[in-house]
Amino acid sequence: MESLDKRKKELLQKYWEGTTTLEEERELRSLSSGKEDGALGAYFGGIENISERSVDIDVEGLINKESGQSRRPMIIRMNRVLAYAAAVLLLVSAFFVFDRYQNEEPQIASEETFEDPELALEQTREALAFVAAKMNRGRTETVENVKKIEVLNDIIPK
Amino acid sequence: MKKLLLLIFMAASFGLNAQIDAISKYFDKYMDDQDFTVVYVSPKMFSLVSKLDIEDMDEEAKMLLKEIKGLRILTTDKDPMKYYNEAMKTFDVSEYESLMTVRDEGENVNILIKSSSEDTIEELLLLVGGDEFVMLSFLGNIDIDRISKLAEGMDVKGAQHLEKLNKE
Repeated sequence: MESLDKRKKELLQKYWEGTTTLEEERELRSLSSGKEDGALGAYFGGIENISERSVDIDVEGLINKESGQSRRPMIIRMNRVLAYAAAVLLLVSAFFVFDRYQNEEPQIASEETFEDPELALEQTREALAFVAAKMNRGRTETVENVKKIEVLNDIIPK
Repeated sequence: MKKLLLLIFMAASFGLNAQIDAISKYFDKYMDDQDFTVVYVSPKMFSLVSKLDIEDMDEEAKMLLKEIKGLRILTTDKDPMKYYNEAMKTFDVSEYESLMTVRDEGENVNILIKSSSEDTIEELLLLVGGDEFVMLSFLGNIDIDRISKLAEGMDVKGAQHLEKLNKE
């Protein structure tokens, strides 16, 4: 009995120092499980129960369930929402840019040549006349060339 | 998906801006050059012009005037062919329809249009390279038939105006 107590004390000291092996801990639990061991018995009995209960919990399964099936799809869904939001934002921006250049005169940098609308009108008439002159010249050239072709058509025997 | 949308957005933005910027930059480049005569009439000025009581102008011409929203003219007689070729290279002529190309007596004339619909044009660009370089751009929502009719009615007057414009 005394030798058992001595052994228990020895094992306890090693246990509190954290130097016991698994074999020695099992031995200590078996030596301290009796009711006469009081608090120590309850302590080691408790440890025994915890270790028994913990076996029933599928910790790995829970982790997989939490991380693999629940959180990951949430992140993917958020990414998709952000992608759609970005796409909508880009399209809206593109619309505004397009609208701006449709309605706005883009040549802002240039300076107005005339301050008097009458002079601006006169210049515009001259510019239109210039375009008209060039267009008419092109027409005349075309008509003359067509006439030449017609002359050739008359010469060339059919 | 995101990359594709971004590319579409960028392409659309650049496409819209590029040509307008090219013309604007080309004009602005020579704005302060003493060798060039530069004319710019803004949309604001055209809104004032359209309110003028013009008596010596037929209705078609008046309507045409209301349709024009911007005018730019750039001319020089120094090294005209250099500037003509530079302009032809600067602008993406594939974006325009060629209304007329004339080569006669050492002068090249290109009339290019950008259509907004079947009957209207949003830009008319005239490039002339010969004794002088002329670049003329009309912006607006212009009825192409009106320009054509105006040209027919200005057959003689046009030549006179041309001389006047060249002198300035």
